[in-house]
Amino acid sequence: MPMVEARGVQKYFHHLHVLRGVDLDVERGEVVVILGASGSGKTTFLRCLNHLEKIDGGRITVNGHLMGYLERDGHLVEQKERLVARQRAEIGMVFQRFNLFPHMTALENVIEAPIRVKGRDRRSALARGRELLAKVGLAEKADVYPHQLSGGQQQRVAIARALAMDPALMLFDEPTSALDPELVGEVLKAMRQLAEEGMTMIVVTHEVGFAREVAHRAVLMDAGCILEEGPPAEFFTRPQHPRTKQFLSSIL
Amino acid sequence: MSTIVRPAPSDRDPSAELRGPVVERDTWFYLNIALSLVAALVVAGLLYSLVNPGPLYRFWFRTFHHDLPFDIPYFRHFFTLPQVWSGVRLTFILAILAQTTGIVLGLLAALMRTSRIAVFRAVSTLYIWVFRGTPVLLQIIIVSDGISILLLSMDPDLSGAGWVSHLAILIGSNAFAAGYLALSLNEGAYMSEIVRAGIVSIDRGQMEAAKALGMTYPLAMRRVVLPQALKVIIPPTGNEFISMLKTTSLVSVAGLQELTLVSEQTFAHSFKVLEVLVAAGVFYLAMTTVLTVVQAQIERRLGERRADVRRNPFENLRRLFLGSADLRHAAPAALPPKEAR
Repeated sequence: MPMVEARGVQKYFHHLHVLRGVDLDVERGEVVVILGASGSGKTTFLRCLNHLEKIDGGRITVNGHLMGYLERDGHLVEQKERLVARQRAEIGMVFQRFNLFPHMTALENVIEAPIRVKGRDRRSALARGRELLAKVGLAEKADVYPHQLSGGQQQRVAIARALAMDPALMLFDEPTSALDPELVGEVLKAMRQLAEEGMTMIVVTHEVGFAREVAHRAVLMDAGCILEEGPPAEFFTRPQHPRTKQFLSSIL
Repeated sequence: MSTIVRPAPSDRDPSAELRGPVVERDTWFYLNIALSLVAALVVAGLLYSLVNPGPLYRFWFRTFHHDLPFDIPYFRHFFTLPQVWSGVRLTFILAILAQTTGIVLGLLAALMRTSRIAVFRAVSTLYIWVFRGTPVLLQIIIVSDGISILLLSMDPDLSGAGWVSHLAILIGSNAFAAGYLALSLNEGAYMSEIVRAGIVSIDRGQMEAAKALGMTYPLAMRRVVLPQALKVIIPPTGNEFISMLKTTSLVSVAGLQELTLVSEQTFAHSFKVLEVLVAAGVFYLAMTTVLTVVQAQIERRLGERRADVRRNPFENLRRLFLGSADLRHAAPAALPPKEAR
């Protein structure tokens, strides 16, 4: 059974039809990179996967469970908030703007959800938090507040924070787009390490280098649909669709 | 083309960096000193007159050919009256209780107003609409008189001895309870808008990040949004507190023996209107000053990086009276590092 199964996902913002039937399967341990121009719906699709956005049609299952909805008499009914929250706890998400909690230190950011949501005891959460910060290369920044960190460091803390929940799936929403160019590398390195450990990852990004070397599959979204998908080796060298060629030539 | 290599800053002549701009003692500097001296003399003279009013009386009579219409010994006497001190105590206690309750009510109303349940939103909006849109004085009178009249007519025990009647008599006869209730309700309406402004000022990404980590709305509110909103909420809450302290004077219409009513009763006997009211003003000023300094201390503790909040309470007091010229040349020192912006 695939980790993520999206079928015919539809999404409207008022009258704007943002997602027009998106189908995507992501296998366990697979790294999928979603490319596309701004406004193509890739970020919205990612946010639908952990139900930060409601969907207006289709269905999404994560780890075999319908995400955010219950099926009743052939209709989807929105799930109770507490249960949606429990589903989200299994899915890590990294945001473009980091969204660290500014009133907590790096370590407190990392241990907050394990303690409050998973009910872990403080001591083991602290140990695990330090371990994760060390993993992203920030062991010595544990007691520092986010505003004292560089953008790249903040994003690595955000990755550690998501990993602290032991997620089965990690979503990355343009994780390097808000960074100064010289800070992009350190974040990509942490992501690459994660991919090598076998984490299932869905990454919305413009980093073609990362997509080529790390991803198992590249996906191009355009106007709310998936236009083309394939292994990066083929996707980047022999794109089939004219829109894909056009898009790749504009970013390469 | 060749690259131009500039020396790193540390290689430069160190003495050049030590020379700051020269402060010139211009006309303004001397004018400042002169005016400060005059002001200090006037204040010292007035304070001395409190101890020894003779010279001031003589000066006034010689200049204006009338007696000074201000009985300084009586003014001092006012500060020793026991009923005045009990009025001050009542004012202070009422302000603290009503403000605290107002904060709790305001938090509730703000959370209801941002709730997903439509009835909650409507109730909260109606509450704020009514209590912000009518005068506090009116609300105090309605609570102290009107509610007990209504309750009396609602008592199922027609003999007038049931618990509803007891409650009515309690509210009607207890000016403190009535004042507390009215001021709390009124304050809650204002506080809810302050709290709501604090909540909406927090970036939406914070709530989203909390939800993505599996937090429910109440948990995310309590652990992530409200602690950050507090920085926005605290300064106007301090203002509300100061305002509340003065608004308690309106409860005098309900017959509460607080500072203003005690003052009125005192000059009704002695006819020393000016002395009594100025003295009452001094009491109010002292209480609001204490609150101002406490507020500044709380803001500092919350890590508010504002130039006008200082570590030392006396520094805050000095700034309260003398102000600060910092506004004219604000130092851009407190900005966060570039990446964080």
